[in-house]
Amino acid sequence: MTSENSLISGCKNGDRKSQRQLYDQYASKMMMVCLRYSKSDQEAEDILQESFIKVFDKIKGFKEESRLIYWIKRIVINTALNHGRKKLYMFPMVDINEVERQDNDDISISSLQLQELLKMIHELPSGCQIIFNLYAIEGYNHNEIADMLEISVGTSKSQYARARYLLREMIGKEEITYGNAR
Amino acid sequence: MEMPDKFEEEWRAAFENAEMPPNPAIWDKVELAVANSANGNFKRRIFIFKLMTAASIAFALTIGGVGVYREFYMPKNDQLLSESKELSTDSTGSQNKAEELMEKIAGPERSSGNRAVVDENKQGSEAIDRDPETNKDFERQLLANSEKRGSDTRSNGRVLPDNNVTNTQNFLSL
Repeated sequence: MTSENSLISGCKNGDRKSQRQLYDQYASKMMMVCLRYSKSDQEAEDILQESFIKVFDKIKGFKEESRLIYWIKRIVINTALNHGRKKLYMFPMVDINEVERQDNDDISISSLQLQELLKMIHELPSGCQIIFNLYAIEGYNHNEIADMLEISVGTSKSQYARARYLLREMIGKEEITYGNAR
Repeated sequence: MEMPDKFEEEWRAAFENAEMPPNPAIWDKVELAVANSANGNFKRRIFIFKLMTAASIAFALTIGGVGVYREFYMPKNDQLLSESKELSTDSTGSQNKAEELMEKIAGPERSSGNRAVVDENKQGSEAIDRDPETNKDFERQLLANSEKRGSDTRSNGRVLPDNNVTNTQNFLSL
């Protein structure tokens, strides 16, 4: 039996030590996921807390067909989407004119720090932020995103195009700032 | 098929193994919530167990109570059968009982009055059977008796039952 299996088995039996080990192993990675979907550290912490409570509550139903990290990540993303839905209810996503795709390969994020990238994501409108995370980082396609968020595929595409446009603008400004600093 | 381009690949790579240590206080809250949930489940199980126990006791008591009632308080079938047989065979006894009951209901005076009228009727019919000549005398005597009884009852402040008069009239019409 691998260490992950014994960890899962311990958590299924409600063993406090195993729960703590599992939390220590995955909490930092999941905190970064939470930060990507939220607007503030406080909101990210709330999502993380709620997610791990769900993890320990539902782990008895974990079939071990997929890796534990993906199962936990899925719970974290769903919890974050539920938080996001409240905001989306207030500011519903609408189709926006397709922003012309600017395939400017000169713009790269390799020179930027993780914190700077995170700050840019936080500055996106809520709908754009969620769809950018799901499409660009998680790797879902627009059909899956449309199903998950109960929106049209067109809305998902247009929101992603807007997110991409806004990010390119922010990256451009950062590069100019960097260039001037050098 | 949507293919991720360089832009998406860069973002994915940047966050792939990214980590951020969370606030240590989060674990305390998670631990507390998980413990409360476990306690809640345990309490719920205890409550259901108590409920089941109470229901079982109530059921056992009901069944026991019915059993005790049937055993000690409810008349047995054999007993009921013998009683019904007695009632059906002893019809004379029951008639006597019914008469006694009627007497009790009507009162002693009224029943004696009725008996007197019945006796008179009997005597009258016997006299008619014996000698038709005495019929007229007997008629007069009866009328005198009935008038006398009527005045007696009126003087006592009581009214004779209607059936006495009816009986007399029936007799006269014969």
